[in-house]
Amino acid sequence: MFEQIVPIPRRDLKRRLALVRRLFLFMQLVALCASASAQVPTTEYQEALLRRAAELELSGSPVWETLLFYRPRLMLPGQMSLGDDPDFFLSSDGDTDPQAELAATIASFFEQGNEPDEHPQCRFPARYLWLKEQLQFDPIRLVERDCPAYQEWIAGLDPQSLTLIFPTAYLNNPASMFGHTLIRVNSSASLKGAPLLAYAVNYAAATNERSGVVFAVKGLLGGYRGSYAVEPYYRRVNKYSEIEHRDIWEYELSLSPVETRRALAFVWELGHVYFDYYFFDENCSYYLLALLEFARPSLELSSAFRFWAIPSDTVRVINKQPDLVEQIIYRPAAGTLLRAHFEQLSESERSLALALASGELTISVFQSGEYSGGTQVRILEAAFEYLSYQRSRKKANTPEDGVRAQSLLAARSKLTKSADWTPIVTPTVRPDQGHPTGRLSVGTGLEADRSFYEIEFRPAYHDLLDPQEGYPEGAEIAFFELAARQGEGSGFELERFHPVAIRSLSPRTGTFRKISWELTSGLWRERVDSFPGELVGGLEGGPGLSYALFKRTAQLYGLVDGSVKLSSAYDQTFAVGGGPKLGGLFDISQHLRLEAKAGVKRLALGDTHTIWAYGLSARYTLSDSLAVVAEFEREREHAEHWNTFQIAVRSYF
Amino acid sequence: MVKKLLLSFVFVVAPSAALAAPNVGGCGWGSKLMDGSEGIAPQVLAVTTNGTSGNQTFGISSGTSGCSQEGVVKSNWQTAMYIDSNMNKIAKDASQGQGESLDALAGLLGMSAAEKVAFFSATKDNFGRIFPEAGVSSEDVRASWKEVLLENDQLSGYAELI
Repeated sequence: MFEQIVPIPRRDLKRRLALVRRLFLFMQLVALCASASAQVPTTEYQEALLRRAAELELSGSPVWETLLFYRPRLMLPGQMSLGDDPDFFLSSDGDTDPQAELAATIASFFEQGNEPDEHPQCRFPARYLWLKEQLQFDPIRLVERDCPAYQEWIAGLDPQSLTLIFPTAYLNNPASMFGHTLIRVNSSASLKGAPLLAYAVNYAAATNERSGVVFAVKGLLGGYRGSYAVEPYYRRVNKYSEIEHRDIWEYELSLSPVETRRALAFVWELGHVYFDYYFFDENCSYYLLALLEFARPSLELSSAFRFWAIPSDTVRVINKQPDLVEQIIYRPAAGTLLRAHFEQLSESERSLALALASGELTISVFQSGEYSGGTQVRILEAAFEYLSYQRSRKKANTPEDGVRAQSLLAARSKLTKSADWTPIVTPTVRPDQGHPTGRLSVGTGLEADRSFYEIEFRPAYHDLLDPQEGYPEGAEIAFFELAARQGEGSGFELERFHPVAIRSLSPRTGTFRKISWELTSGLWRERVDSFPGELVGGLEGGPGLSYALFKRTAQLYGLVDGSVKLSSAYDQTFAVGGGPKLGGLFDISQHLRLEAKAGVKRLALGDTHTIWAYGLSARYTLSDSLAVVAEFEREREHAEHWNTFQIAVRSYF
Repeated sequence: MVKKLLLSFVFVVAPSAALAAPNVGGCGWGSKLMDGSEGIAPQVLAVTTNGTSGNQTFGISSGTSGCSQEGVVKSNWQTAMYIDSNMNKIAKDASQGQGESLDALAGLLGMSAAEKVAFFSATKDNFGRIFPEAGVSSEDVRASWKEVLLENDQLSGYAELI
């Protein structure tokens, strides 16, 4: 404060000094009182810092934008932060005024009298770290505070590097194809070959909601608060791998220990505030990108995700950055390993394993069967894996099942041989290498005798005629699929709109028997009286069965669908009914897939009518982002029969 | 100086996961072999001496407190929690004498490569003592494991760490 020292006669020095000390104390008191009324008095040094910050244009810097989540406003000019918690901002205008927030942040670093860990330097270590670096804080004029909790946390994490963790889809749940992303913080201990001992940082909606539907709706609309959780990675692996049976891909990032600590400083800052969680755009993956962008400011990751952030797309973007991903490791789920092991057993070995798992066959009887050591080991291990799988699905949770599980392990432990399972093969195509999730199709065709053009836009995700590599078998989900057709002599008219359409065709084997199902919702055109037809709104779907043949190059399915439809063109406006559908998917080559379908629906309530259709589609993959699809369908709806041919080019982005 | 029971983790519950019962302290994490649950999840323990900003905090336990019997800290907190959270996987690996979960435990104890070899085979040979039945608690598993380690010249030093 007092930079100048004025030389004064010695005699008066003591008195003057005493006076100065008292004056100084008085001013500190004034400052304290002033700060208590929420006005931080500006000091000369603080003003110097603010000037320097203005010179460097820090409030407009991409790093400041990253730290505060500023985004251009949709309608109005200027910026708005995605932060929803008032505690995230130090200025009352912080959410729209980066300069005000920067000034308030710098001012807050000068605060005095806070409890340890409550000081803004400790609540916002990322901002402090960056501003200190940019403005070269003088530790004498701006005291650096101790942050015991933060330091202890960092010490406990011992952050050396980060790994991007990507759990993928699980069976019979096409929505899980979207996946999830989280970060693993590798420590010196975990880097010695024990990744399970690292910590995972996970951003998710904080809720105890059990209803999938409520969770989906509230999650879409920002009805939950998102927050960060830190827990040992093994807990995450247990959840994804053992319970949900999701394969995990681990992308080891090249971040240095310094960069890793920057990311964690940001996690600490964000961990103490909440953000409204939006399933589509402000979700796990989106916030994760911000962590990486702060860790390494040269990365530009989130600009590609203005409107929605699909986890697999964010992984794609991260993977494409030069020098960011060093190694990719595949961690198969327990269910995946189980399937792979069962495939290595003979038919009779499989039966024995299943019988041991269910208890139909007791271990003592099994062991009296004189199988070779190696065979016994494999059967016992497979039996335990199957029993664990059933237990994870809550199908074998009686105490007897527990006893049997322990006995299987005990019996196995007495055998010296190794099972020598053939190691599981890492899939040749990773989910992030599959086709991009957005799709635009342009096509032309002939419906009865009328030619048309069709444009279709589908922001996400994948259908069974899209190139299959990197996507789980039999899983199809479309969000907001919108198609318009232009017939002869007319403009483009809405042909169909599906907010959600899902198909899950899970091939059944002797051991793994899942029900297939499908669900379609939205609007589409039906030829009620005449072409081009009327718009019908409805919900259709139902369960079924599916089987794979010819080493999984063919998949057959049969479904029974219910149908509820509404249309102003219907008698009584509505129609309810249902009917069966049969189909098959055939992979003729790596590029060529065919689908054949036939089905009938009888609508018996309301507007009674019958719709039947059969057809054949073919998709030929041209490249990573292009495919061509040709379709033929013969339909009868209401009164008319006709054929439709269509050929379209699908481009993925 | 009040011994800080260091922060545990925010347990974010996904719709499919079950809520955990509160940890009752001591080393009684509560997990039982093959009991069908995934063990007691550490819930939010917002126990810090001065409170931190915000009403939800998260943290790591790097300390050794929080696990005592008659006031004496018997085991490393992290090891106790690891075993409790991974009982079934550790038992499976133990029955085979190899596996990632068992290897991670050995790493947590600080074993060298040679010691790990001895650890895996001693564990497999004594499977029936360490994991005698379904429903055995993780405390009892650790107690039996201690005995097994004590009997082994190469590994006896690790008995007090497990």
